[in-house]
Amino acid sequence: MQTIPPPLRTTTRWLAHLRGLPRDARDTLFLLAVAAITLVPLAGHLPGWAVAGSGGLLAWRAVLAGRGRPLPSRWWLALLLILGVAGALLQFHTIFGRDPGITLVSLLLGLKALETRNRRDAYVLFYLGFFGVSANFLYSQSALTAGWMLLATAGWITALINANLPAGEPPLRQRLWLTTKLLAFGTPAMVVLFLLFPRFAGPLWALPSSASNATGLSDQMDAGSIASLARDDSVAFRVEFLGPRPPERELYWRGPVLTHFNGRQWSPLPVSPQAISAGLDQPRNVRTEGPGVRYAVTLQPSQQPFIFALDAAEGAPVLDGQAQTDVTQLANLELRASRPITRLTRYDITSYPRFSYGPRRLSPRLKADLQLPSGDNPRTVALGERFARQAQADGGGPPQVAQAVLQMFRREPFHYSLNPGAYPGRNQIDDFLFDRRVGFCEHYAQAFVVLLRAAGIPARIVTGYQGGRENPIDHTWVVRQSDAHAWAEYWVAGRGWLRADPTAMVDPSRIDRSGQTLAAREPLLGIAALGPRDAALLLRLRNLSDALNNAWNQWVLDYGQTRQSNLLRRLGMAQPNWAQLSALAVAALSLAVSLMGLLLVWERRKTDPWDATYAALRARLSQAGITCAPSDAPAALAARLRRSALAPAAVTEACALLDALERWRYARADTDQARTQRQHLRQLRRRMARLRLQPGLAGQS
Amino acid sequence: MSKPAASTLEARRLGPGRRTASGPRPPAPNSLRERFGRWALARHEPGVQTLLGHRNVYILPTRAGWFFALTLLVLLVAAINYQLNLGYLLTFLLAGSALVSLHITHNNVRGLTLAARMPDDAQLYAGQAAALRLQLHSPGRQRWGLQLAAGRQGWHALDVGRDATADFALPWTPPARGHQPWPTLRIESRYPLGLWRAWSVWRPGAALWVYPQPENPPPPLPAQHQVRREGQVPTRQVFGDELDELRPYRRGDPLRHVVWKKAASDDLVVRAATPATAQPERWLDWSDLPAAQPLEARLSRLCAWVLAAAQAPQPYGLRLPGRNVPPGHGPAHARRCLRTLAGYGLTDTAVD
Repeated sequence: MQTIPPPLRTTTRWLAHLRGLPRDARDTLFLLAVAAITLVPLAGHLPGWAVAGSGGLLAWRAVLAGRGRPLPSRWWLALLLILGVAGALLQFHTIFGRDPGITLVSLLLGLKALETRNRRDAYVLFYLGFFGVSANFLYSQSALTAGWMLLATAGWITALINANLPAGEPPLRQRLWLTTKLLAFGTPAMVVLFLLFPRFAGPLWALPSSASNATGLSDQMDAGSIASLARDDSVAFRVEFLGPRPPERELYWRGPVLTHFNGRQWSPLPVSPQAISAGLDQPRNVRTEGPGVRYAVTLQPSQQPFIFALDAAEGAPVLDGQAQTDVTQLANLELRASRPITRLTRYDITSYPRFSYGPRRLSPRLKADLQLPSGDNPRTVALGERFARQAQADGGGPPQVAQAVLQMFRREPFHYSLNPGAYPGRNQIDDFLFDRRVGFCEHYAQAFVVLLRAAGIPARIVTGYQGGRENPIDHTWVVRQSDAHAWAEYWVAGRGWLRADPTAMVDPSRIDRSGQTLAAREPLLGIAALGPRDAALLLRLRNLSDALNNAWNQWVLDYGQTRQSNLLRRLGMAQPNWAQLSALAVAALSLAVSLMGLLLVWERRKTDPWDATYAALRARLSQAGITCAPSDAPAALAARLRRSALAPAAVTEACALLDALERWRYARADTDQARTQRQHLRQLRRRMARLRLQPGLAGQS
Repeated sequence: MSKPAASTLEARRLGPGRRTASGPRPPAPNSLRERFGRWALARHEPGVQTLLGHRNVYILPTRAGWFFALTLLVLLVAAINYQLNLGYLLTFLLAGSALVSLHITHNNVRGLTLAARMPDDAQLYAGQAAALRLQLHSPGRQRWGLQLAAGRQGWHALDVGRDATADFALPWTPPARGHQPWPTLRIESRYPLGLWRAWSVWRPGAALWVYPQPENPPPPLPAQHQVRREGQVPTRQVFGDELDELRPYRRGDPLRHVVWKKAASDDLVVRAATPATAQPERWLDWSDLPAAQPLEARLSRLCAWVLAAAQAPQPYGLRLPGRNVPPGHGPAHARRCLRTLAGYGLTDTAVD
């Protein structure tokens, strides 16, 4: 005898236990499982007490259902509801808006489950469930979320079916099959409506801005902020090059440019809308050489207003996807959107890798790029001044100072680490340059800038992304949060701003990564213990899921007003208006629904051949005046026929047919004779066609 | 659930002469629902069976369906406002599935055959629930969650298998005594999602006898009338197995005198009556009852008497104002008496 391993045994016992429960309890447990599936992905976004609360309520209901205990009194539930609302008010100071709304929906799901006594009552619960599914999309619209939520939706629909079976209950598999059928046949209508439902340019009412879950680079940088991104493998944006791609080492995706330093933190110069509208904050003296690089960027929603492009972008792109948002190119070449990016956004842009920009002569505007907090980092300032004097003595200028600093990073034992530890205190750059010499890109960049400023050279930090990787499956260029980078720019009279990447001096691999596997670069998914082969497999899997996500983004999430009007133009509607669009939607929808109906009817037609034959014979007999109910057995009909007033020959023949049918019905279990059965059936049908049911003489008298 | 409140029953019980045997007079069409009911009934020939086809299966959203539509609207507004393409997809997928469920719900009722099995001689008294015996045949598909109701009385759920025939006894409490036509039957289904309700109505062309409610506790039988009336031939009712002579069956002999044990072998044989041992007959007389008693109470008592007398050996007769049932005995006689009582005061009631 085989022994069953304990976990399996436990599972089997559980299943047996479930089967032994009364049907109401089983349906309730099913419903609770579906509610849990719906709410689980929200757990990361809701306050802890709300997660614990709604999870606890669902578990409580499950225990009551499993043990067949009565539900708690409504007073308890009212009290819990008041507590929940109070908690939401304390947490969010309102009960309206996204986060408080979803917190309340999740609590209400649990409370309503505890109040729902019978299956028919459960509709409120189902509708709350659909809200819960929709709430998930506010946080994530990835293909994975969509798949999980499709599962949840199927669960809710199955639960609805459970609630509408007042008598018996088909096996679970049959119910799930029906759900599949409902969803599958509903898909054409979904596609039609999705494509044709008029899209609006903007939200119906102002959305409360939520900076809480902004991702990626921010416009404040301190030591450690980019290092924390280096472990984030999520996609920042995807690029489709519409021509040859520049080499990876030249791919500097410019983000926020940070000029102001307060001793701990770097921040950009304030952007004034007046200056923008007056045309003051504009790039100057941009000169480009050589061919441009054309590419399309699909930016993930970051809740930040930054638009990334290779240096130097030709101008501000037009965003597709994010409504009512304009992009401005600032004087420092940074692209800034007028609103945070909350949707997947696509833009086409051209950049010129060989360029120069910035004032040619020293201007008062460069003053900000020389600012240093006074008195901090005395050793660094002194070093900067020494570099300046040395360069002057050698007859050199700012480029020689910059070279000297970079050489220092290369020659001295500077280390590159994602975990350099904290640099507390006012003189953190002194600590870094002279004492510990361990850091990440932001440490090098800020040390470089402070040294140059001390040497009297305007300099600033540029943050953004460097490099990226091609996904071999769909050949898109993927830039991840882990590609976040900080580098520097310094100003040279007559030439403008020049780029310098001090981190590259320390660890060339940070810049040139071609030929390296992901596993060699950093532990994937936090699994450092994996061998290289596993890592390669995981890498392939990640590429695959990335390609899927990209396709998902392009075809599903990116479908907005622009794509809709493109589609309609292809359908021959140049300037579709509401009336036309609605008419088209209604027409397409009715077509879809009628097709659906036809399919369902067609499916119904597949009846048993025996039944069809018998029904046909019954119809003939009814025409001849013999009353026959579908419930009558052939033998009973034969008896009725013999008593009828039909001609004896007809009666004999009809009875023979009925007898044959009767015998056939009971012989049918014998599957070996399927072929002879079919022949038999054809014979029967032929005999039936010849059958003449004239009234006999006795009937006429 | 299946029985209306007793007070409703009382209220519906009508006095003599106020109603016809063709069933309750339909109320004046004051509401849309009633108008629809009349129109729908007119589309169904009353008969022994009916096929529910696309002509007589109706479908409309349920309350839950309207709320579902409202939910979809809210989801749609959220999708528009937050520009959630997946929100649009969810909303439209649910809308599409709801439309598919329209077809499935309609198909769940359409194609069914309903047949009424005519009632056998069940003894049914006013206030009791009758079992209307129905046969449902479902060609081609399994039908889940069908609900049947007799008149406005509660719903009863059943499933019918694919190509199967299901027998179903639908409880129905007739509103009053008399020769009651079957109520309007309603069949509906909300399967699978409960968003739509497909239904049909049908009135089988059958009727059943509802006897007056027998008085409880049963009153004692009235004293026997010893006086034999003129022109009445006493009938002998009690036979001992050995004492009676047997003679061949003659035309006109009551069937209950046939000795069935012997019927298989020979010609029919009946027991001859011997008038000498005739017993006095019993008359159940309307005029014996207190004059103050209301009509229904009198009928209840007479009904109880008939039931008691049927147990006793003596023949008994029933005397109502304007209607007499001559003394007799046996199940057929009892039925005749009970039907006379059931139809008393109601016009057009053929008792036999």
